[in-house]
Amino acid sequence: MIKKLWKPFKRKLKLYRQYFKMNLDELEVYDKDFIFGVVSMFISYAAGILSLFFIFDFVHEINGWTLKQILFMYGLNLIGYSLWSCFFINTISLPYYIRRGEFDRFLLRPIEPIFQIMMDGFDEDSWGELIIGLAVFTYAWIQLEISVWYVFLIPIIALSSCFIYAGTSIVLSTVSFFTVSQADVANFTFEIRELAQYPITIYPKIFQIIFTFIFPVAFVAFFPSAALFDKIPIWLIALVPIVAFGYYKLSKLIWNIGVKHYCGTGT
Amino acid sequence: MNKIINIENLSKTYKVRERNDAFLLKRFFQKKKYREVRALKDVTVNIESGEFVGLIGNNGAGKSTLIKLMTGILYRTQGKIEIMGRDPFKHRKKNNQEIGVVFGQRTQLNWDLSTMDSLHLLKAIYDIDDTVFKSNIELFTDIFGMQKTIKQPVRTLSLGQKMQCELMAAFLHNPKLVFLDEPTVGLDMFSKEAIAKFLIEMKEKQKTTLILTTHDLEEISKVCDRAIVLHDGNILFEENIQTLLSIHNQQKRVVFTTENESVDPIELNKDFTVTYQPFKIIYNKVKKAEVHELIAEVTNHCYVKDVSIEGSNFTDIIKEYLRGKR
Repeated sequence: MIKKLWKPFKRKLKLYRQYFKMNLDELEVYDKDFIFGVVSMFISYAAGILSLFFIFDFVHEINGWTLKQILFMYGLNLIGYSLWSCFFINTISLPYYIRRGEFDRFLLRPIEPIFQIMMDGFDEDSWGELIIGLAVFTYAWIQLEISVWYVFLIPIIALSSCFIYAGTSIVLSTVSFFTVSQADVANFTFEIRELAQYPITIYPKIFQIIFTFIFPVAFVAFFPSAALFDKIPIWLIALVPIVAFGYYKLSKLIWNIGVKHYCGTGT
Repeated sequence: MNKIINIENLSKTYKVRERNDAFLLKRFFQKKKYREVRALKDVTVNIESGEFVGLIGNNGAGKSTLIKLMTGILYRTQGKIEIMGRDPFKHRKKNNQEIGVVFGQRTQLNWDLSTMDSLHLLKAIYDIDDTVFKSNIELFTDIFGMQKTIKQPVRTLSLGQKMQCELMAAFLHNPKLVFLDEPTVGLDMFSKEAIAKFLIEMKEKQKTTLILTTHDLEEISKVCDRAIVLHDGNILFEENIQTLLSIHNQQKRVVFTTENESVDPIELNKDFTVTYQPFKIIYNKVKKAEVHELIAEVTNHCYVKDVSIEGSNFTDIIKEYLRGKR
């Protein structure tokens, strides 16, 4: 019984290892590109964070959130996003694969096409984003004097937000199975990240609904932060991994409908 | 012998958007018109396990559609299709475990890394045994003589070497069924020869079933047992290649090169067709048994410098079938 369960798991583990090795080998080929990538990322984020300080020179709070709390959210959002960016960013390349006719290649192999696409290219530059995210987050954590015990929640929240982003990008890229067009709807994931770093209460109602129920990015940083700052009951944090897992599963179901449509029309 | 591919009355219809010549803005609001294109019409094919089949047809005859249907990339419109006893669309993942594919224009090797790296990834994807993996690599590199080349970045390989590596990748997991779509486009004759040799070896050692499409018909006649000719979504005919060659080689073409620029017409009571050209007399449709007699007659009549007797090759035969169908 255990052996029966262990075998597919072991196979998957082997697959992961091989894909990782391949991506790292590739990275080594373009090592200078990697270094420049990380450096430019640092610069662009430094500018973004400075602008936050600049805004708070004029106002003391946004919708009841102080600079430190906003920084906390910013860091948390960036951690989840950078994890997504490293492992799942290739999901937004689907339109590219379809247009070049390369998607067929994934259909010819005995493992899930979505898994192959994810593994086909990591974005190692996002390690820079992860470092920035962690730095800002730790700074805000210390400044806000949040209890150390909550540290254990962070990996769970970070992983959950990574999967919420993954679900979002998968749902968005599914569109290209139907359109086969130049419009990369999936790039919208980048815009969503920018929007998710502020409390959703500052947006109109319709956006609040969209970000809670359709693309649940409110669960990435807003709800966990609000819970930790006692703005909402703390137990609501438990919803985050549930929503993440459910949404990710749902996104794959939607994606499979797209694959079916693709096979029916042979675009 | 068991059937590995069983196709009955298979049809596939695409919907193609019709071009609308209306003014740009107007076009956005008008109802889109679609036209149906029948890529395959009532195709019935059976292929035995271990058979090598050449799929022949002009561009747009339906070859690629047929291959896509057999690999489960496309869903059929009508009819029945069974690959290894299973519906290729429903059981795509399971079937793919035993199928190998090379699409000539697309690669499954990582451009920046060596072939060996890509093969290691395929080992994990197809869950190949260590021993099978090792012995296959050894066998393949021996046939191609590529022990060193597979450790080089794919980017630096020649076109022929790349294609040989693609073949290694497709055969690595000992697939029962392999599809090769235009594997030799743009390759030199030695690379083509190496590939033909490899395929024949695979037929003997691994008992693979092969479906090959290429416009190089001589290659098909070298490698395949049977030819299936598709035209306009229909099967024009299918025939064993050796049978086809022997039927058509009952008749020869005999060409005489003469000393004088023109000779007087020779009276023969046979139904050959004769063409006279400067320094040449050409006889078509000469039966094998009559070649001897013909040469004797002509050499008697005038001074002959050279004689050549030509059979029709596979390309000529297929051309003859497809002519007039265009």
